[in-house]
Amino acid sequence: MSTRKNETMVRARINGEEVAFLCEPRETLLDVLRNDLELTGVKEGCGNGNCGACNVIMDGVLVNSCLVLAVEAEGRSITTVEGLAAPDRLHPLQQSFLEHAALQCGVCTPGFLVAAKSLLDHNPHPTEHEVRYWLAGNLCRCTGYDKIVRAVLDAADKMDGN
Amino acid sequence: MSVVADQDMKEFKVIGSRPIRHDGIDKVTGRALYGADIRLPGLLYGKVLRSPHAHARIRRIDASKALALPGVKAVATGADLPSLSDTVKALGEGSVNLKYQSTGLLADDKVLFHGHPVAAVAATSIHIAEEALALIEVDYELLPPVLDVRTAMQEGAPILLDDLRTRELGDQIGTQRTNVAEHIRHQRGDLARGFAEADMIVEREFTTSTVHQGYIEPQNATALWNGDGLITVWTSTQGAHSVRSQLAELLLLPETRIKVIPMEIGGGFGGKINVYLEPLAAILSLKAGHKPVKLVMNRAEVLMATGPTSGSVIRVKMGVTRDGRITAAEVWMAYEAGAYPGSPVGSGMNVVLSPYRIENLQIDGYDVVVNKPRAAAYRAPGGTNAAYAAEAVIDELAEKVGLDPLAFRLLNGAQEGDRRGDGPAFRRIGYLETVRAIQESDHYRTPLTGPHRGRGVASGYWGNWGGKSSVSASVNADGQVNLVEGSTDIGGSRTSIAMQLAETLGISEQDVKPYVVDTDSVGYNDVTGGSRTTFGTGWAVYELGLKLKEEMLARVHTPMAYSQPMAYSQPKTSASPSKKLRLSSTTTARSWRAPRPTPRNTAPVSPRTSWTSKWIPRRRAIWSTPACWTTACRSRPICR
Ligand code: FES
Ligand code: FES
Repeated sequence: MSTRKNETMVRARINGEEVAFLCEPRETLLDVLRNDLELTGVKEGCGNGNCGACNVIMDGVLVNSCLVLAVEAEGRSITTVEGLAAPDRLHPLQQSFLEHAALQCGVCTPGFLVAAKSLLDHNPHPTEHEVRYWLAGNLCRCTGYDKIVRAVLDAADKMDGN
Repeated sequence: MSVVADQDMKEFKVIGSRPIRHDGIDKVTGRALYGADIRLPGLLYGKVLRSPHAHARIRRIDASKALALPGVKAVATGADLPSLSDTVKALGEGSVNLKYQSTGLLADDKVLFHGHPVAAVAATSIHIAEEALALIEVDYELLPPVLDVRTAMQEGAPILLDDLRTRELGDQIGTQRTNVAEHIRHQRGDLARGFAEADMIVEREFTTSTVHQGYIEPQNATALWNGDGLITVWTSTQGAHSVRSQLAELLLLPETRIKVIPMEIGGGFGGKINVYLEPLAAILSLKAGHKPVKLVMNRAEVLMATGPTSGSVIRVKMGVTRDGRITAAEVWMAYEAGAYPGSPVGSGMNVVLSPYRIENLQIDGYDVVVNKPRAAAYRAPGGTNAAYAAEAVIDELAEKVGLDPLAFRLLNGAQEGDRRGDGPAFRRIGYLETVRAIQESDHYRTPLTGPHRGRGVASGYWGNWGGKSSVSASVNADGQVNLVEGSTDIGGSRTSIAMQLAETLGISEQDVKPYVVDTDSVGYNDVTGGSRTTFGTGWAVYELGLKLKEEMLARVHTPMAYSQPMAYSQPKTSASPSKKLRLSSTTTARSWRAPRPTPRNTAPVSPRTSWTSKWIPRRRAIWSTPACWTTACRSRPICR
């Protein structure tokens, strides 16, 4: 049952697939990803740009999807945590997060992974300082960050070796 | 409790290893389902109208315009909840007065904090629900708010709860209207004499603020009140059984009619024990014609209306002799309970000076209501404020008498037989041994070089709550084990519990598949909190493992009629195959790749299990019926 007003059709490329969806102008990209496209790996922690749990990569740029309107996705290419690796594999970052126990409750993890992926896309050999600086937009209440930083550095090393 | 010696540690195969957690792949791929991720057919979306005032009387609520908005299916107010009597129940990590808990969920005649729920709406979309909130008219009579514990205790302070009287030193009940819900005192020795013996007295006052738990995942609840009277609730919680008990008490229903399905939980830190949304979702579902209703807080709602820990004022006065012996201590502590009684001041009183042996001691604690949300558990509830105050004074005393902080603690530290601040005597706690070990450690002795380097010493007391846990397990024909538990996994407990079962059974933790299940599918479990889960649920799973082994051996004995007893061994260590049984074992692949079924027309992959060993040919037949045992344990607290 549709109860939407002023619906707009939006076409975008999401995790490599062409997708079309209807949305209201007031809906955020996060709303649409979670509620309409069932990409619930994208999390909402704050809805106001503070926590980074909703991070996605849009045309190569790391964004908080809670601060992007769904209509702004028109013609864009978007990567969420679900699109980091082929379904039967893990991205080296995902593997590294597991090995370094870089998650406890795990609700911040999709955002950290997407943010870290974006970092390594821009800078494949980051220093610890650069990792910490880049991930400053992501909040984790459980881990204390250290294991996350180590997991990212280790993944960068391993990806370098491949 | 026996102490685990180093020697015993070496015998562990699984404990002490660092396996990849069982829920890890779901959590790094985004597949894990948290409470807000749930979707159900016919789902309605709820939103809560909250008071913009910290203290006000509600004269009138008119929801007729909201109800008339197309898409709105139900509106609930305090009048829709059963009216409950003044009964105090133990729930989660503390206890709660049911009447207060109910009026905290949906206001009755007064709102007591900014963000206090006044009404809730269910509609076909979240946007319609939000629009409907704006159409609900509430007529408030504003009252002066009381926002800190000092003001709340003053004579003539505005009163939050008309029926509140001070419970004074046990059972005496005051007669005056007040904001002080309770006054507790622990006392021993002779305070005046103790201070008279002191060469030096230090007295300091500390103020701590209200602090929120700050978990990243906001509270959420989805409920279906079915036409047959059964209620199902999906929620992110620290304790599904506790949610069930709270719902049963608040809705006046038998627990058996309520099923709580714990979703993954995005942090709690004590703040996800009390229910906030679950009863509202249930009532809305009933009023909306038995449709499922989902409520998710936004961040602002989380911060204004859930948690927090108590703000507090603590005064610590201590006397010492010139050579550094504590002669007396007097502590006065007042904790903000929030809008309703129940701050963790009692726990703060247990903590405050328990690491020290003090003959002459008096601790006074006050539980005080203020116009803030009702305080919730938060990482050693009430303990951190107390330890901060006491340790700051201890530090100052050590410095004044010219003693190293560790030497000061060796002189005054508690040991076996000494009494905690609240009375009970310690058993063996190893405190002084720890202090001596620190004295000898390089971490303490290495000279400090370079700028911004320092070293601090603090001591603290905390107990393990123990609590109740139930687990069950089925051994499958492939030799692997399904483990069913009810302790919600807030940071890896599925694996720490599975490891304990694996260790007991002598198999790999990867051969145990742990599940956290709903309240209908496992026996009662207390909340994941109070530092209890790895210990309490671990104890239950250890006993379960022993029973499983016993039963498996008995079953193998009976049909085969062996004359000699059989032993049970760790995998890969079986020295004499003719006398030892083992479950299968597998190893974890370093790099994960989803396993695939073997395609037809290719040779079958050799089985991973070792069950086909030749000496008991019919063993598979014996095991084809899964075996299942349940054990529950009430674990003992470490300290009495
Ligand atoms: S949900 Fe978008 S930044 Fe927190
Ligand atoms: S793992 Fe819980 S918030 Fe990061």
